[in-house]
Amino acid sequence: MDFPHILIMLAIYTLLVSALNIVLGYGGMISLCQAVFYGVSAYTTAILTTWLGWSSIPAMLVSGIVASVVALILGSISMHFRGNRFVLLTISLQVIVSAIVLNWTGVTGGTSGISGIRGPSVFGFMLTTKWEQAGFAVVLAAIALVLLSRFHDSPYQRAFSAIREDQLAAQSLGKNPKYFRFSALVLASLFSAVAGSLYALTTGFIDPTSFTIDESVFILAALAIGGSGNVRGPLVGAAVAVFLPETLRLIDIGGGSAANIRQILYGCALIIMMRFRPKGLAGNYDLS
Amino acid sequence: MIQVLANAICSGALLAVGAIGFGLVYFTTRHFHIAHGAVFTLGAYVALYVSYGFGFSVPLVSLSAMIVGFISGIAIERLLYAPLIRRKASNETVLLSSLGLYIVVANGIAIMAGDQNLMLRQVSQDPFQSFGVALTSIQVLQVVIAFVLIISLAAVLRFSRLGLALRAVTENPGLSVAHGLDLDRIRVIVLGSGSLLAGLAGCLAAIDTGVSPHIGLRAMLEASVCCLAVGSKSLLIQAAMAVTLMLLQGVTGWWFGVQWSSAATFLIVMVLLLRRAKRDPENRLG
Repeated sequence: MDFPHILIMLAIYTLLVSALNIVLGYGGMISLCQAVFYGVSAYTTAILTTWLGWSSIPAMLVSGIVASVVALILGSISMHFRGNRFVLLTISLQVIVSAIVLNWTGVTGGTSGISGIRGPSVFGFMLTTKWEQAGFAVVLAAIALVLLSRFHDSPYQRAFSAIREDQLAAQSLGKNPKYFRFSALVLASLFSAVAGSLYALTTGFIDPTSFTIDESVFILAALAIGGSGNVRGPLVGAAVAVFLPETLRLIDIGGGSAANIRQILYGCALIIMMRFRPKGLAGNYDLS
Repeated sequence: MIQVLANAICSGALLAVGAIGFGLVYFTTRHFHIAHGAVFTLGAYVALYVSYGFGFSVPLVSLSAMIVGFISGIAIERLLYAPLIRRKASNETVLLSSLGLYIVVANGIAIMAGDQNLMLRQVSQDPFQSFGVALTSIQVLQVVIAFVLIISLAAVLRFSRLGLALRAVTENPGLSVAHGLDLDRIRVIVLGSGSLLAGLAGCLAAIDTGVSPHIGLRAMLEASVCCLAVGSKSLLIQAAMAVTLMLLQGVTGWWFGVQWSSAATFLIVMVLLLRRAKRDPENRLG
């Protein structure tokens, strides 16, 4: 087992699933475009570090800004939407960005992607070994979790939940739903941006297949399985998302169909969770 | 340009069949029925299986896909949605269950049939010239089937007691139940009929362009666009939207290359949704 790689992926999925948790678990909106923020930031980091020779941290900061701009665009459009139309809007954004990433070959490299991305460096020190990179990823994920736990205990989060549960009542208390939904998207984009940068820096190669709608569906499935509305639910979801394929690989199930079997297991888990435990394995927010 | 328009009408007809099925389910139940894509894929692969396995002709192949679609729809309602509805689950729960089923079906088919694009080669793909445009017989068949279906379904909805019941449930489910309509029965009929159309659309897609296991999601998305972007319950408007969408894809492909057609389509969807949202009080936030 490649333990450093597993740790890196666990950190990345913790960030991604936690980011979606802000939108769904606190904001009450089902988003199917989480891979957009993840991909935009991964490509920004790859372009800045590979072609322009930037070091990792400034590249990560700029990637966060770019992902936030995409979230601001989505937010400014989506403030008019709720329910199924919001889902359709996020799917539309995902399809548009996927097409741009795939076809704007001069910038993104098209289907060939971008290779030769340098590993992360911190204060001038290159993190060359996988264990060093895993440590860097875990530290970033831990910082994110600490911030999220502070957020979970804050009045700000309670305003989010109030709007999710009863918008009219929250409005009568002076809470503006547009502002809170807008900020949920931007916050989620920032956490996803960190995950995207980490992915680009630690794998050294990115291509469009990692940021398709299937990835967005996968992140949503992980959140639904782990549970939303608190900090530990996304952590459990990320752990399931990362350890399940590793376990399948270890016991050698599926052979060439392992990826499909993994997806089937997630699909079944999603159906079973929605039927018998809509809160997920460790969540607070009951989707039903 | 006339050729682009002719192709748009033909592929729009195929999309319209699936869109009407999606709309039937969506406007009656208000569920974002992602499993519609699973039934679409299932219909396509059943068509391929009975055609290559048993040598069935096109009408029998289509009938098989429709029967499997119908049975799948009823099974989805009875086994997946009904238990959730009985528990008064939210639309989000139903959507995620539907998504789960789509993932299971698409990947199950991928394991059994492989990931490659498969095509049903029973109908001649050689084009014939008519009024200055080149069309294949399957393209003409798509238009005829869509036309007959839309007219028949519109007649059922307009003139039959069942149609009246469906329209009543669509407008006001609570009041319909209060007046003695059996909502469970109507949901079964709607899911069965909508899925029958999804199965047929999948079969036609297998004959026309070929299918792969994950094609259902895109088919469902395009069908949902025809229903949600304009928000009209009229079958004719949904069909017109399907043709417009395909025309848009054709024109974009012609000007910028086919790789940009889906992006252009969904960009227009965003614009349409935005225009609609500003007029629709249901969507307003605060």
